[in-house]
This record gives sequence, structure tokens and C-alpha cells, in this order.
Amino acid sequence: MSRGLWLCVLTTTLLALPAASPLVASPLSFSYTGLFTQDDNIQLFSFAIGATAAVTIQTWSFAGGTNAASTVIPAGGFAPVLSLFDGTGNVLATDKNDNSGTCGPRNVDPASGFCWDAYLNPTLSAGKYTVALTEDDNVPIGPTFGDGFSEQGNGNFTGPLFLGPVGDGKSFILADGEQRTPGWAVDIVGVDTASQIPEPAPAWLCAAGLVVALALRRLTWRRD
Amino acid sequence: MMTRSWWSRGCLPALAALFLPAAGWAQVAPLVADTYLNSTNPTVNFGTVANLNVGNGSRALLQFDLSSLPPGTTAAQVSRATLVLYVNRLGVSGAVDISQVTSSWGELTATFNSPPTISAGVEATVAVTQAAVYVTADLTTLVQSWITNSGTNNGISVAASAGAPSTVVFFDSKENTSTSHPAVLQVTLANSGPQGPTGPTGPTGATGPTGQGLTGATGPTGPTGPAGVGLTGATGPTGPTGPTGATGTAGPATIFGTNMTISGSQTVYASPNGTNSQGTTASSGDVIMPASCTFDVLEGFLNLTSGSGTATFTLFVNDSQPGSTLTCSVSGNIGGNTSCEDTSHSVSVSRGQLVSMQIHWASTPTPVGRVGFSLHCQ
Repeated sequence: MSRGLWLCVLTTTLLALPAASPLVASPLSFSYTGLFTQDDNIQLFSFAIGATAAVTIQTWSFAGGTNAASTVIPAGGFAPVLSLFDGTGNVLATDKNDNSGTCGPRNVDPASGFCWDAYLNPTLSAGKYTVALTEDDNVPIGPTFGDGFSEQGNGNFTGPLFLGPVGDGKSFILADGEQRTPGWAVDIVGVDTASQIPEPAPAWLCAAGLVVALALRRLTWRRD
Repeated sequence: MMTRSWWSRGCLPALAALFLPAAGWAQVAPLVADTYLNSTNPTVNFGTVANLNVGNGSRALLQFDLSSLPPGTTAAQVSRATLVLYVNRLGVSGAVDISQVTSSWGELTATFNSPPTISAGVEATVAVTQAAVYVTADLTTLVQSWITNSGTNNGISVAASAGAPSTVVFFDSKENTSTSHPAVLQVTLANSGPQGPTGPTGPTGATGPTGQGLTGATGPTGPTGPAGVGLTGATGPTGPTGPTGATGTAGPATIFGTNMTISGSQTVYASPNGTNSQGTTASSGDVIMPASCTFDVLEGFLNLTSGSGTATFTLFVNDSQPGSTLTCSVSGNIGGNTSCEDTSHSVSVSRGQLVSMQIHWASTPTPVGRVGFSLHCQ
């Protein structure tokens, strides 16, 4: 690996961390926040537990609230979907839109009146797991992660889906036609370890890495 | 992703079994148009979107095609009509009211600002408290009225219930390709006549793949094959002489001599008609009696030769009367102890018979001259 490329990767990682960094509230709680760039983004997380435990995975970005890291998350984010996979990629659970109709642990969004944050609270045996965060209507289409997601590759699908032709080009549209934000916030609570699986770095991050590499090289020349 | 075929093949039959009574005949009136009207977007048509939004300024419109019902169906035959809706998302729990749409509308043209007219009455109120479930409504009376008053089927409106105005529900539309649970109107018909006859047998299916089983046991011996075509065999031996035919009716006592065979070189003189006149001398030993010769007594002379001998007379009995006999007698026994076959030989004769008579002589005393003979027909 060339020095420039290595620096690109390093810099990308360093710059990406503040945007979606886990803020550990307790030894077993991990909180992540970030932004989607378009409707069909898929944000992955992995976590592991050493023994059978009740694990809570939930979003805060739709209706807002205070996450496990005590950070206040604003309301207004897109309608999230959480899907849980076991170590071999089998779908264990999916949640969206508060199917129970009772809100439960979910907050009520002040704008829509809906409690459409996603919430999973399974009891899991020891092992490694993967969580996928997607936007409403982009759900697993088969029993395994490899089967893909229903809106994968459809870019900004919520505009046409929920508004019809007048929604072409629009993103982060709620089912009732309301405009939402691309922000998301996910807590993974009750696990031993957790991490965010980075998506491919945007081009601007690589460009920034190259700039840093050039700067370092210039500093090296001056010392010589 | 679930597909419409999954819905059609799997869910519809299951729903039919769930919601329909055991007796009766269920029909599905297909959903032909659905959209919703939204006050926030009053000029926007939502006929192509995946949801039917209800509540928070939205009301859904749905229309079903009843032409799939058997021709001549009457309102009285509709024992039940059930609307089935799938709750895709639930914003705020509550209930929805279902009302009759009373004017026509277009799926791709209806908007909040150009809505159809909607009856103020409520056909049914349905509680909606969960998402990802089906809810049903009894629309029997409404469907019966559509059948009775043809042309009044403009569909239904679904809106947040007057008793729960904050309700917000998102039903699946027929354009939904994610969960694919469009609305269904199940119509149960009663007294619709007996079941029709069994349809014709379908076409033969394609030949299946070659099997890979073990070789079976030897089968039973097959039936005997057709007779072979052989060559004609050689002519068999002559069969045995058949039985003697029945005796014919006796004719008149007329005897025609035909072939009088004389053994050796004897000379016979035949004298037909009872005369003693000398007849034809046969040089070869045969005396041919004239065919017209009829006689009661055939007389002749037989020249005896030296040594013993036998003269055979064969006569064909052309006709005879019943009971006729032919008697041989020899006169003028000159040597040789000439005699007929037996003295005064007499045989019964009948029509068509060949009669052989013989005259014998011995070598001693030495035969001399000729001997007379006569055949008498009696």
C-alpha cells in the first residue's frame, strides 16, 4: 500500500469518526448518530455478547429524546427500520412504525403525532450479531442478509413512493407526505462490544486525506 | 419482498376461508381503483402511490368491480359482503368510518379539490389499533343496494371516524409492491343454484424426466400371436369309398348290353330280341351289343377253346323293374363241363348296375365247338 493511499484511509477514518462515533454511556451501551445521504442507505452495526442477555436496540431520531449517551437527539428524522441478523446472516427481527399501536418505549413525534422510532428488545445467546438501519419501506426481502433489501438501489425512493409523481427527486418523505431530515441515532444497549461498520468513504474524505499527505510530505522536506 | 402473486395465491384463499361462512359461494370483487385525497396537497392526485392515507386531512377512495358476480345475481342472493383492508402503518390508533361514494371519480384524477360526492351516512365503523394486520367491515347492505340499483356503485370512502378524529392509518393500495395487500371485497352468494358439472379434463402434462429405478422382474408370458401363413401341403391320399347309395326305383325290364368281355379269344354271337340269329362276331373278343337292343333273353354261342377257360359277360342294366333277375343258362354242354358261374346262375339286377356273369369250361372232356348260352331277364 502506498504511503499516500494509506494516509487517505487513515484520514478518512479519523474524519469519519466524529460524524458517527460511539459514545459509550456505560460499559454495555453504545450510541451512534449520523446522517443518511439518500433514502436507500444502509447503515450497519455489529455487536457481540459473551452470554445470553437481553439486548435493546432502538432509534431516537424520529421522535427525538435522550439517548444512552445522554445526548439529546432532535426529532424530525426519517422513519427508521431496524433489522437484526445473527452471525450467519439470518434475519432475527425487524421493527418499524410501531406496529403495536401503543408507542411503548417510543416517544411521540411532535410533528406527525406518530411514534415511529424503531425498537428491538430481544434476548440473545452468546455470539456476534449485525444490525441494519434503513429507512421506512426499505426492509429485508428474504430470510438472510444476502437476500438484500426492498428498496436497495432505488436511491431516493420515498418521494415517488409516498407522494407520487410530484415527489420525484424528493427524499426523506414520510408516509403522510411530511418532509423529514436525514439524521439518525441508534443505541445498542446490553452488549459486550459494538461497532459501526463504515460504508465506503465519500470521495471528499479521500481528497482530504490526500491534502493531509501532501502537507506531511512538505513538512518532511523542510526538516531535510 | 412479497409479491402480488403471493397475495393472490396465498392470502386471498386464506382470507376467504377465514371470513366466509361454511355455506355459500364466495366471490372476490376485484379492486379496480383506489386513491386518497389530502387537504395538505389539495391539487395532488395520489392514485399511483403505495398507500391509502386516512386521517390527518386524508380520506381514501376505493371502488370494486361487481361484474365478476354471476349474471343475474340478485341482492337477495348476497348473504354477506366483507371489505378487507391491510393496515400497513398506524400513525395514531383509533377507528375509521366507511361511507358510500355517490358520484363517479377517477383514480388518476380525483383530488381533494375535485372529490366525488360522499354520503353523510356511515356504512360501517372499524377499529384500527395495530399495524401489519387486516381489518374487516361488513358492507352487505351497501353491496346489495349496488346490485339492486345498478349504476350506483361508485365505491366507498374511508376516513377517520367521527368518534376518533385523530386516527391516522395507512392502508396498502393496489400499487403497493412491498407488502402487496390491496383491499378486497369478498361477496358470499347464497341460493346460487347447484354446482355445475365437472369441467373437461385438462391437457396431458409434459413427459416427466426419465426415472432411475432398478430393473423390474420379468413380466408374464404375452398372448398367442396370430396364425402364420404356411405353404399349401401336398394333396392327401384318396379317401375311403363312400357308402353305397340308396337303391333307385326299378325300371322296366330292359337290359342293354354294353361291354361283353370275353376272356381269351372267344367269339360270342349275340342274338338280341330273343332271336337266334347270329350277331356280330367280335374279332377282339368284345361283343358290342347295339345300344338299342332290348331283350328278355340274350342268347348266344360261345366258341370253346382247348383247355379250360372262362368267358365273362358284363352287362349294364339300363333299366329294370323291381325284382328283376338275370339268369344264366348254358345249353348244348359240349365238353369241358361248361357251366355258368354256377348252374342256372341267377342274380338280382337293378337299374344302373353292371352285372358280370361268367361261363366256365374245363379242359376235360376236351371242349369242342361252341356252346349256346342265354341270359334271361325276368
